[in-house]
Amino acid sequence: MCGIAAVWYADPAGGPLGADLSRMLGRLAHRGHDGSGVGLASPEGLVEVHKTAEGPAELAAEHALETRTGSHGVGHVRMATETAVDAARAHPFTAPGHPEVCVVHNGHVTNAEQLRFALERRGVHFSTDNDSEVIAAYIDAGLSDGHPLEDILRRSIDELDGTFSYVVMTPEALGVARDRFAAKSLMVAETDDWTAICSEGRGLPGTGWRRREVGAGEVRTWRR
Amino acid sequence: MATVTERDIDCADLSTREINTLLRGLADGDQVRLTNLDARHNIAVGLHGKVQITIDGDAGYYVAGLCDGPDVVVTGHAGNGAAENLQSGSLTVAGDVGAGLAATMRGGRAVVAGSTGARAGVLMKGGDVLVGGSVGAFSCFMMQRGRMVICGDAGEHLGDSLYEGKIYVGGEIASLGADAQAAPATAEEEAELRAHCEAHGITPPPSFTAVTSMRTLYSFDAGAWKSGD
Amino acid sequence: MSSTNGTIQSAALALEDPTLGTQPNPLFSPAVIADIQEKAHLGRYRLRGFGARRELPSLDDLTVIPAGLSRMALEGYREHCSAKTVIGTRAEVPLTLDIPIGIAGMSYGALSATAKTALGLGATAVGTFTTTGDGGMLDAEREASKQLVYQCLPSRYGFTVQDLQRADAVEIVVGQGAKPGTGGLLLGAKVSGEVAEARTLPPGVDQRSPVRHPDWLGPDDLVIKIEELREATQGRIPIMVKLGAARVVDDVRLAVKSGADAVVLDGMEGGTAASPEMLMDHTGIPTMAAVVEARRALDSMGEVSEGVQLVVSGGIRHGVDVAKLLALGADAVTIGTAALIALNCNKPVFAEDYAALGTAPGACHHCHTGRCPVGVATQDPELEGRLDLEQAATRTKHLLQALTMEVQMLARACGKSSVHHLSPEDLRALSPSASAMTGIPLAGTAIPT
Repeated sequence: MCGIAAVWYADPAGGPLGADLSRMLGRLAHRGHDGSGVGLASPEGLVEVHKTAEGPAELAAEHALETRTGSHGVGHVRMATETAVDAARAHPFTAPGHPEVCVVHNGHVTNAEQLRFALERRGVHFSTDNDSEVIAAYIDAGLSDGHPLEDILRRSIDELDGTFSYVVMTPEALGVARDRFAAKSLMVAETDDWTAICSEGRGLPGTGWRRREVGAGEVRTWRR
Repeated sequence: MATVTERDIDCADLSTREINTLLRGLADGDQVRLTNLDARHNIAVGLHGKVQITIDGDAGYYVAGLCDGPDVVVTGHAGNGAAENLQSGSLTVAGDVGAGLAATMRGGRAVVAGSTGARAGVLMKGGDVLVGGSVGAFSCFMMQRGRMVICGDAGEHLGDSLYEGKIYVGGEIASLGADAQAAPATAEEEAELRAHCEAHGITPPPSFTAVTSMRTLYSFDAGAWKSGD
Repeated sequence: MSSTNGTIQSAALALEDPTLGTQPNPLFSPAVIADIQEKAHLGRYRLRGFGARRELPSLDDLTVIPAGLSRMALEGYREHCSAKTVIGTRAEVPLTLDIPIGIAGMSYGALSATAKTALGLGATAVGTFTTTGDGGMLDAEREASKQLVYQCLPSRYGFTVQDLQRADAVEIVVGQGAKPGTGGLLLGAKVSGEVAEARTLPPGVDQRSPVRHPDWLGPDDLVIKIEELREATQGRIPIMVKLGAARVVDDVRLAVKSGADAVVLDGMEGGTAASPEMLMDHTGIPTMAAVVEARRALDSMGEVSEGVQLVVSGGIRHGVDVAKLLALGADAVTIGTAALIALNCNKPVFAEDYAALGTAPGACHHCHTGRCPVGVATQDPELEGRLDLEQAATRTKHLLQALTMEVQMLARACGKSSVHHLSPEDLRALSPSASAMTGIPLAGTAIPT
């Protein structure tokens, strides 16, 4: 269980992504002390992932996040539930073989082992035993089959069991989905210039913006 | 006449414990305004006094939780579990609230001008909640008593397994939960609800739907049960 | 071979073991047949009270190995053996007990007010605590109990800030051993006017409690919930988390990461006043295995779990069970069913009332019906009147005292001047399965060095 953060800038040239994400993660730090990580997308279409078994402050220092700009990105603080505490199992999880698809997840997918088996039969080689890696691979499999991201996320509401609020990013898109139990909070604030997504309202940038919770079984995507 | 204290408390350099200890030490009738709270969680928790607390800006989770008496006003947004288990007094939020507004509330009043996330009024056991905007899924799940007035829309499974209590919805109901039934509010109820909204500065919707329990879940298979185990 | 059907049949009959004729089928036993036929009648699963009824790998498969020449035993009747126990040492005012045994959470509703009060009086008399349940805190129970643990359950029936602030500890209940992953159950016969009012329910409803807490849905939100309870109690009292033993290692670690001052772990032998029958026998982990997993989980965490105590419950019958659990890593234990038995549960009195329930003293598990013949698990004033408060309190005290004496006796025999010095090396396993489950060497396998 965890804390999630994500930012999408309306301007494709991007904004102070590293500073925004690490500020949000700092305000979610109490939600997990077992690791942290970010995924950063650049306007040129590159996705970079940094993760650690340490907290968001150490992550920010190690990768000079304050100075990093980008078009959109995701961040995570982890409270390990059923798998080991190490950097490999920190989030974001990238899809095996496709590091440009990355996911931050809060919750626990209770049919992850069945999905893992089905994906392995397709030739996916997982690098961890973590349920969140299965989500990344699941989405990637859908993208490889040519399905639009929004359709894949919508289908995931039925096909993933248990609890999940997750944010997925690709070089050109950001997507969010929440299980039908609405178990894990996910708040969204939007202005004309940016959209911010966070497990807790207090992680959202600034005050004075309207904020709303992503609904039960709700899916949304942002795309360039 | 009792002395009434009116003052501002700058929270920037105070711990959550220090803030709550200060609030606990207030005398009935005292009025305070908390500034620079930075949307911290668990503020104004576990209070009994008839005190008036204004939070300047946003509040975090459980604001006015486990309270019996205070009137708390939040000028911004509030987090999950706002007014949780409130017994008497009130919480007024100018903005939006996360999930679980007024969870297990027993008495008093919660008024939210904006909207809330999932599970508003979950396990409510009494009291009165008024939401100017909409509420999320599973609101009033297993509600036991009290009243929830929603001027906007209600999410999926509204009033699932409710025992008693009454829910009024001004907008659309995405779906009713098990054992919940909907009917138009009576003219008398409509008039009362309009006055209620206006008294709290909230524009009432044109009409309300009343949601109550069908009471078919009261008995766990009663007929078969009586035949013994 | 004969060509007629009749002859073949008789030949087959002749081959059959004649003794099978009256022997019950071990797979479809009379109990299984009765169960199937009852469900075919009811159209739903069966309910009952008490707890698991099947044989489980148990603490009986461990033995205590006292001192001889290699170490010195303490004088059983004279030398001091401390039973002092502290739970929630990180809080300003921990639970400070004279014995390592407390009374587990059981609700007013499931139990009569007299029973709840007697448990409080008995516990207080020996310097230990009792625990509320899924029906709020009774004034009489509070007054009777010097140290009272206040449960915070998913239903929050009767939960008030006043009771929270007059409690000596809080126990956030995530699950119970008898039926982990499911909510409470109180059938209408026991939802009397008073019980209904305490729970804000319509009288007589079959109350089915939620399994999940309404205001937090995971350990990350539990972090904030625990802080809320700490703020409301100003950090004075311990905040504990109770788990039904299932995914023990993960859940214990998460309880600690969520900020619990103590973890209460209830094994699958734990009792309940009412539950779907199948859950009690077929879900969870036995207490013996659960305590081992929990101790390993705590010890694997480093500083984070320092000062976090482990309280274990589930099917504890006597002081030997307590001693073995302390040796396996528990800091304290709680008893529920055993305490009720001390109150008179299953005592051979009012035999005709047991018979009316279709049972007999020694076999009764009808807690769920509200017709408890001895006035313990009932809301019927006449039945409740059969339980004399003072005598019941004395029996509770006596049982707790006797169990503690048994633990001290074993600890002294092992050469220990504190019951908390019992450790895994004071045990040997008597069965390969107990050895495999606990990591305790099988008796007879010690290799000389």
